[in-house]
Amino acid sequence: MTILESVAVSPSNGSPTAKRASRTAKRFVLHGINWFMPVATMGLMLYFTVATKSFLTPGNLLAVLTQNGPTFIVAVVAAVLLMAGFVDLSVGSTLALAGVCSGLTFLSAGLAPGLMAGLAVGTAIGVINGILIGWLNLSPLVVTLGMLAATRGIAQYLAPDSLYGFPEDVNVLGNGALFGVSYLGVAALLVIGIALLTMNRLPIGRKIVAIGVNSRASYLVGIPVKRITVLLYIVLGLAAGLAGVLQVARLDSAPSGTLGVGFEVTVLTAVLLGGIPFNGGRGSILRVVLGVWLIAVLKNGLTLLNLGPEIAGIVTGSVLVLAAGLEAVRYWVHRTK
Amino acid sequence: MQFKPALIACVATAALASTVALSGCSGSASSASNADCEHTYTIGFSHPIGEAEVIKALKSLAKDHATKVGCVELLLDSTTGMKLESQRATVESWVTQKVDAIVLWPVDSTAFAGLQRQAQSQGTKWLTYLTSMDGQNGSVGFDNKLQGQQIAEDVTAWIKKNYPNGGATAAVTTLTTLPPSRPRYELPIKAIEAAGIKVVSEQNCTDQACGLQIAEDALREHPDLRIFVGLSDESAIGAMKAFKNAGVDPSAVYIAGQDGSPEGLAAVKQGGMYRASSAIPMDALAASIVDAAVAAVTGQGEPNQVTPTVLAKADDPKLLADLISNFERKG
Repeated sequence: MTILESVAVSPSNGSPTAKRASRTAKRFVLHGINWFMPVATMGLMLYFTVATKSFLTPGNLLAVLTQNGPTFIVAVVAAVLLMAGFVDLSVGSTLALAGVCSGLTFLSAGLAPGLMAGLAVGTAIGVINGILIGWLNLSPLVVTLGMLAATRGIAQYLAPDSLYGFPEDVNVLGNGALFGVSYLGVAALLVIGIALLTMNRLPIGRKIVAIGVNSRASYLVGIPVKRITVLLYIVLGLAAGLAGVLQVARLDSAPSGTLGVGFEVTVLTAVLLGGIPFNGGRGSILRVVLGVWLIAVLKNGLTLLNLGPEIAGIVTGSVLVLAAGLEAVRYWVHRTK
Repeated sequence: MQFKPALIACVATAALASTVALSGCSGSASSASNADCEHTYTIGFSHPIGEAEVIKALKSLAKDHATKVGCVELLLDSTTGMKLESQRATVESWVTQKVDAIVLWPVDSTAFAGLQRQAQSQGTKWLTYLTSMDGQNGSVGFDNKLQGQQIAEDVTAWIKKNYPNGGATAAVTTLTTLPPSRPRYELPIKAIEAAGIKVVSEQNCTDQACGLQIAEDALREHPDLRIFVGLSDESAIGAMKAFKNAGVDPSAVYIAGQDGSPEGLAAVKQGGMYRASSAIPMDALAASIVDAAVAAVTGQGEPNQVTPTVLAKADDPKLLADLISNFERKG
């Protein structure tokens, strides 16, 4: 009997020995799939190390962290939201509007007010999303898609042309470093740390997952479902605002038309790649971080190798589809265990 | 406090409300100016990348030109991000309205063939922008080949002066998903290689973030990277940031972009490593959209118009000032 055949056997139909064999096989498959992403990431990194001159250098790895800092910041918070069973498709435009508002304020009032403006705008969008979805029970997809269009429109209305020529300290915020790690990288690591702590150590982490498993039952056992949902959207808005400010500071420019375009897709891809189902209820922050890192490493390695855009597209798409396929198998095996 | 107005300006609902109010005002103003005309020609112009700065300027300047010509009402598409469905819906509504002419850059020509037949059968003139479709009544645009040639010649001259014996590498951004743009990167690549410099990075990219990332990665892998040609000014601006952050001597670097965006032109004007932009004279291109459409409708004038691009460099301040003024007049 092959591993897959043994996995397919229903435990209730076999002898005790067959059941044991089936369980062992499933555990084996589950382990294999659980380790796929770390192993695939390591494999890719090994390949890029051999194939390029600069991949495995501290400078390059830190640059990958910086380049993908906005994705890390938003993806881990979006992952927590998705664990509760909610989705936000407006993060790209939220990033753009927060970035544009911080850019306008950088020009008129300097660094600190600009930073505060970006964070405030992100938070305000989070509050609106949170109230509409968490409090008034409107569809998360419809509300956040609407917000995606509206906030992009506002960003372009406020700054039809690219904003640039910010004070020097904005450039320092975007490109400066603390002990060799860029501020963007530091912010990403901090957000990851807070998300890990929240989901693994604090009671609210269990409540968030419980809402994702069954929001009605969670409500009946006394979990403040609405309040937590609103809070999660606010935190995600804040994260997108932070990402927007830092991205604008890094670029030293705020192009309202292109800033954060397609960002929501990158974030959602990373979150789903990290093994969080679309309807929530389970998931791991570390796996999401690994998902973002896998995409980041792939993009970086393919650029260093200078593979043509067509080949890069084929490779990236294949890796993502393979990862998604294995995740589906993992879920199926897990469910029939 | 100084920052209060900016923060207030960012309040979403207020901005949305004013946008709606402004669109309402502009609509009525336009009708009023055309009120005395015996016949007002209605022209629809659709460009699917409405988010790009240059396109916003183009639309605004075309609107100005329509007002100047008189008796022309210009309808504008709000499609962004090359969304075919959105563009098709807008053009379909124009066909239903029986406008006099439609000028468009179709996301996919084949998806518009049926609409073109329907439009032309009812007398609506069909013109294309930057592309061509069978049976069209006219066309407008600029020459992608000329843009590529201008950058190719400029980069070749710079290499001959600064790296006559090699010693540097180059990166070029591309857009393989948009075949008409090919000469914009193929010609510079050919010229750079013919001048003895290896092109070590060819990646699809049109915005600042990817320009920055590609230049950062390429600089790490090839520390002798000194030439970066962007398919757009946006990608070249992103790359310039990477070179600055890496502390590369500006006098040893050649960066060029294309289209002549305000930020690109400002970088050229400032001097330094951003050497040139093959710029589209936006006012001329915008005028050609209206003029070609009117010519196609009335049968008088030239319905096929190509606007030549110009090479904007720091040593031609008058040209730079003219190009920049196209964006200053906007809005």
